[in-house]
Amino acid sequence: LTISGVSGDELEVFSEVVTANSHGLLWVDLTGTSATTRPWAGLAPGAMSSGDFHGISVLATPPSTTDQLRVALEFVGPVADQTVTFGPTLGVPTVAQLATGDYPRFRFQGALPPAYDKSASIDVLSSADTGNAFTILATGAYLAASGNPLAYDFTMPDVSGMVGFPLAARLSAGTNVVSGGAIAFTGTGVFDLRPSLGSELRAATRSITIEVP
Amino acid sequence: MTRTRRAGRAWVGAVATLIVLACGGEDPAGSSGSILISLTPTTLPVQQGGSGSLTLSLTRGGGFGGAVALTATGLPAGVTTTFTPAQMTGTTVSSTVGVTVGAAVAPGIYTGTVSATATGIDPATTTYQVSVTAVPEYALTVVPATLTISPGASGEASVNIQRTNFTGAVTFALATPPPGVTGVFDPAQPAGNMSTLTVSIAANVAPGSYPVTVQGTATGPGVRTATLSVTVALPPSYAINLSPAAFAVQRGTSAVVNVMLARSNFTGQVTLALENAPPGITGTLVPASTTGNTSVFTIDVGVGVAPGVYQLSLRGTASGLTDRVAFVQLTVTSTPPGGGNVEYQFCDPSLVPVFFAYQDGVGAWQPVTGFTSGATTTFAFNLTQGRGGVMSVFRTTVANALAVDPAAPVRRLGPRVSAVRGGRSGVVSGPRATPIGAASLLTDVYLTEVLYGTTGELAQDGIDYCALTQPTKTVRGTVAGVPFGQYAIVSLGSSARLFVSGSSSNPLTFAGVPSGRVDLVGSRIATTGAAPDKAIVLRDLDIPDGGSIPASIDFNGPASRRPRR
Repeated sequence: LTISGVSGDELEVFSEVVTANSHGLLWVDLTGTSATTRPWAGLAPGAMSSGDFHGISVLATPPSTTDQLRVALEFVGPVADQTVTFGPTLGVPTVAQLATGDYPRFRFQGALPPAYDKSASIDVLSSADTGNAFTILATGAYLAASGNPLAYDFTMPDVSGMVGFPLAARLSAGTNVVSGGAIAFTGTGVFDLRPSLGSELRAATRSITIEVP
Repeated sequence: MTRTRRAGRAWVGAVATLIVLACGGEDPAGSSGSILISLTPTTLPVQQGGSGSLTLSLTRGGGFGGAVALTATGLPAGVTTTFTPAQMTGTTVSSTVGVTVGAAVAPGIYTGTVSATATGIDPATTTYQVSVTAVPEYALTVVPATLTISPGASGEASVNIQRTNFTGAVTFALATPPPGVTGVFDPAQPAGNMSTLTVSIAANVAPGSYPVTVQGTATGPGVRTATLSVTVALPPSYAINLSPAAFAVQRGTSAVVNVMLARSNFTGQVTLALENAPPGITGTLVPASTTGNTSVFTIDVGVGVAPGVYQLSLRGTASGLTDRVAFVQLTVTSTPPGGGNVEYQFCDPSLVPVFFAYQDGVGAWQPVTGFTSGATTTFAFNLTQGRGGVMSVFRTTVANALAVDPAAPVRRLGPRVSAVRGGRSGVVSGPRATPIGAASLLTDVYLTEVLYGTTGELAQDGIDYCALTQPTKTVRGTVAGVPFGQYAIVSLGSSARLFVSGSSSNPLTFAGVPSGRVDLVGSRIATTGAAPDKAIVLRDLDIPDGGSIPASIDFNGPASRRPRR
């Protein structure tokens, strides 16, 4: 497996097997080195059925950082030499607080490299494992129809006054991690991507922390 | 021919010899002496930068025996004449006349005069001609001097020979052409003045400019070169990409498709048009013609269009290029029970959102009340702006945290990345991303999901959601054939587990396994970080919820094989 576009990032390789009714993780290379030529493993051709294929996922993180992650995923046939090229990194999302009180709301903005044309997203997660999660995703088509496919500008909807809305779903108070994400994918599906032989996925995330009152 | 003033006699020389007569005058002894000189040959051919010689013959008459001095005049600068000897005495009757022609002397015929003088007699003169010829030479030119060729294609140029005093054959070749660049000359050894060069570019040659040296080799003049600049460029082209390319839309509504033109070495205008649309389906493109890269394709579906799947063709035309056609697969649906053009169906009662709202275009958010039929709860609404948003708020309780934890993948990989790995409701587990355990959940947690898309994308997502939230099951399986110190990764459906021999519980518990038949794949790793040495595949396992895989997952058993790596 030859990996490019990572410039010293630590790399982890996952190999998966996609069958007619399953999508299973087969092996993980967690050595975490920056070696850009490394083996990958999958089923022997004799163990594969018609329609089976492999997924090779490579995760890249800059050394000694936790705020950036890039993913390159290739769906390929029988095990053979493969080349994976990563997409660009993302910039740090810009966060502005819009409201406090029972339902704190924020605005999230960021630029999108043209390579990531499938979707853009923001995930907000409490640093505590027991906290709430909030995610926004916009498709590339939506962003383009909104006038700018190369940027996202998300505002948490103010639904706190609506009947039936649980205020307990608010962002958890304290430190939260905000992750901006973007995806390119050559297969089908928009919100739920569907693996197919030959399709490729490129994704990147960039995180910062915020304090939620 | 030259005539002496005194004698006035003319001598008509033979073809190769001019004879000059000089007579009259008195010698020192009082006798009448004379001298006569002639040159052989009278015309001397010499190349530029070369030399040659003539022979001067002296005839003495009238008993004259004095010394005779020789001088030369009349030739242009760059041509020098020498005499050996320059003074003829005694019995000397001949002198060698050397002629040296400089390289800069222009080709042509020049006339020189040799004068012979002696004391007491009339001088004698004669003329000779030096025919200066050019050095045999040739030069090469390539027309055109620049070729633009696509990878995998070829181009032609003419190689012209400009000959100077040279008629020999020239052999052509390319001098150390760049990798992937080859050339064929027809003819390869022309006796004439032209050859046709066909330059071929291999398919793997990267676009760029490549200097190619055309080399001619000829006996005599030697090697001469000319340079041909080959520009390898992708052919003018473009592709039409549509997003989304397949979606569902409620009849009586519209949907927006983004048209993206992927141009390659082409900046011309592209005109887009919907063609052969079924009755009731129309499309508008803004802009319909563009030199840019985007257009917005709005598809309007009339209320009378029958539900079904339609393939729409979007044709692109551009001057000089063949037409491109892109397709949109349009699923026209009927009015849903809720009365809107988008409906989200949740088929697993445990995964129904506790709150649901939508936004039409950029309008105000509106809450939606679901209606339940059997196990399925539906949230239906209407989008009129061609795009909008939906908000779903899910509550995860301690009771179902182990079965499904939508937030778990988020914590390590991000939900969208994990979605492609395990589906929206899948749990990516294993060494990299471990789901939250129930013990860590002291209270309910909420996941709020806001999705923005076109009407078609959201309508399709609403349809897909039910399939993605099919009930799951929990299955156990016993691992065998993993010695102490080794570990295995085992996946059932999309539920993956890490088994560390000596520390993991056995049997393994696979939670969140999709209902129905699933396959199991697994690998055994003998050394951390090494590639697996065994792989196992068990297919079409139809285990009920709470059941166990009948046979052990035995990495030394007959289903185990060596993986390919």
